[in-house]
Amino acid sequence: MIAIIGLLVGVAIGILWHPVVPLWMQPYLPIAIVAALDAVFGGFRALMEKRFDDRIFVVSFLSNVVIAAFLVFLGDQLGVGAQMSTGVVVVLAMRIFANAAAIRRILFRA
Amino acid sequence: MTDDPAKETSRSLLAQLAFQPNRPHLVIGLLFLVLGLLVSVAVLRPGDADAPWRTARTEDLVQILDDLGARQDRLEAESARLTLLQGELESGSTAQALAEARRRLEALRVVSGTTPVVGPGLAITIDDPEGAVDAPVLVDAIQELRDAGAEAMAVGSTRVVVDTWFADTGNGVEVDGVPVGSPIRILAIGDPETMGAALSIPGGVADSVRTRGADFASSPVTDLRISVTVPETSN
Repeated sequence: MIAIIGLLVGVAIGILWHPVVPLWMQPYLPIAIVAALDAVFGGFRALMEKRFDDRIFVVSFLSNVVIAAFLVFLGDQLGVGAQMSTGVVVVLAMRIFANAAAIRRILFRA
Repeated sequence: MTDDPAKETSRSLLAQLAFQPNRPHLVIGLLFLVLGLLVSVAVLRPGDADAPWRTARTEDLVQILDDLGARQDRLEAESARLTLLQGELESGSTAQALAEARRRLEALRVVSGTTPVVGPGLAITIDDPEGAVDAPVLVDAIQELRDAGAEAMAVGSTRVVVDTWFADTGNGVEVDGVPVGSPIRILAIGDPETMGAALSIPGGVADSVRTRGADFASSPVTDLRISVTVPETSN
């Protein structure tokens, strides 16, 4: 419940405040979102499987975002930033789909 | 029904989602707040006016920049020429103004087709014994030549001007009501190389003529003469 409230408040702040993202952060923004979504879907799946743990969720959320951002940063330094971003997004998207499939199996048994 | 796993799951899910203001839940709420903030910021970002350039690749941007630079150079050159002309016309004698007016009149006559034109150009012959080349093909050819910088053109014995029309009739294509005849001859005055290249691009006019079983030939001429004119009208 608090999570949903937090999400709505975050969206509201983003729309009303309209923060300007610093230029150096812009390549990391989409990656960070996808990484966070991966953690959210993982957490939701764990919730469905009744093995949800607050600590694991928080740590996986933060580490996912940090590692994804670090990989893209590393890719930028190596001159393969665009490819690295694509790679990270593809892997995370695959995980999201896998988690979504697991959630769907539990929810609808289909 | 308590042994139904799906029911069980959704019930415990509701319990999990219930309002429990303890520390871990607040942390999770905070993380979701950050996520919502990120998403809304990322989604709102492309509202900027320069959004198309934001996602363009570096090579494309360089290409666009080059194009803009070249265009600027051209426009600056034209601006310089016109400024010079303006100065001449303002300070110079009547003769100079008259000469400039004559020059423009001559250019306009060439474009409007009321005067014969001589110059380098391209002579095109389309040998089409089966009559497979129809009006759209000829319109394409004329359009392609115009794009390639043709100043004056004639199809058969008809001068091509701004209101020239092509039509398919029972006895072949007509241009302004005159049959084009066979083989079709197109004369175009302009840069022969540019026009030749424009016609012979893959899938272009030459290709479409040949796929219809007709023969397409074009040769550059240094002193091409288009003597046919249209009568001068005063409107």
